[in-house]
Amino acid sequence: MFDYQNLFTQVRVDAPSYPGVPLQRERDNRERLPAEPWHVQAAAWLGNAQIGPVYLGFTGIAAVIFFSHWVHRHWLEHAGAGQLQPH
Amino acid sequence: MAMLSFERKYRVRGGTLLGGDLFDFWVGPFYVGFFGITTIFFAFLGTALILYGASQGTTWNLWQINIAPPDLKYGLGLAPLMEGGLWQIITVCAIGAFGSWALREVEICRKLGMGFHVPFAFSFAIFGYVTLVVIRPLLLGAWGHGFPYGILSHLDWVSNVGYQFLHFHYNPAHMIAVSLFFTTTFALALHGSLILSATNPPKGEVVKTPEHEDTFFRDTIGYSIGTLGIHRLGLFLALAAVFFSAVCIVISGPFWTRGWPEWWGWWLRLPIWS
Repeated sequence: MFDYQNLFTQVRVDAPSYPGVPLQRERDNRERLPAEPWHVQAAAWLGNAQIGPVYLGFTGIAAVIFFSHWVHRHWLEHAGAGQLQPH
Repeated sequence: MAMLSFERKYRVRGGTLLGGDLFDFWVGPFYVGFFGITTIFFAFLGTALILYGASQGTTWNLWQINIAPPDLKYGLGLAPLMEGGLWQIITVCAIGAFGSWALREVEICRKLGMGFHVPFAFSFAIFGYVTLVVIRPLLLGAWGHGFPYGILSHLDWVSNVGYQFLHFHYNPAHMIAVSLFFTTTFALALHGSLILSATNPPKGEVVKTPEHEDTFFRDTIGYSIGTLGIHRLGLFLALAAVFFSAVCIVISGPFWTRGWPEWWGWWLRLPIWS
């Protein structure tokens, strides 16, 4: 009975990578990166082992650019210099 | 009584913890069992005592009815009925009712051959209540440290105890608990909206699959925890939130008696910068 009381997966399934539901444009499918997702067995204790692929697209790349800009300005130049002044 | 066609085969005998076959029956849709009887007994007695206490109080205003715990001078002893004794008996009834309800859930799980996740989760809620009205008063040496039973009075108690520690938000366990509560609602919002979005496609399209759900979160953030995993994560987040709530109040007083901001002195005194 107590076999069923575990919060964690007793048998960690290692399934083949799933690239995602096919999109209408082939170009969008190719933008899912990396082409071969990672499989982290430790993640399978709680959930899926597969990590990735992620689809960025135009807005995703814009988000990465703006976020990295904020990290750079806010944390590396100001907080790191001991003069934390939020922008 | 109304019973769904498939329901009858789940109404199996046995699986009881106490009472054998004696209380192994249903009333309408409700399973009774020995702990159903004790649940009704404690809930009825406790509610009746609350009503009696209210009748002896100064108001029938629902918001202002208050049944206070004993004065601190009674320590861990029994208090006169109208000076906290009522609170003590009501507390026993509440723990009896909550505990009975949890054990009734266990019996139903055993009947159905399920895991005990639901009563296990409910036991965390009971643990939170018992921490407030039993464990912490025991550690502090007086039942008077329990919280009063009343809608506004228990809010006043929370506010008062908070200010006794100057600024309760500096309590590290409180910080963890609040973060976990926020994360729980965040996870439930993501999960609930994901399931509804997959099952409510635009007019004329077929209902989507778990593959679509996984793909949505992989496309967005590069990882989908999965259909079973999200429920493991949700249960963990919710139970951890309750657990750290219990920790944050039980350390306030028994472990730390000064203001919580002061506790962070160890950080300021780290040899790195001091």
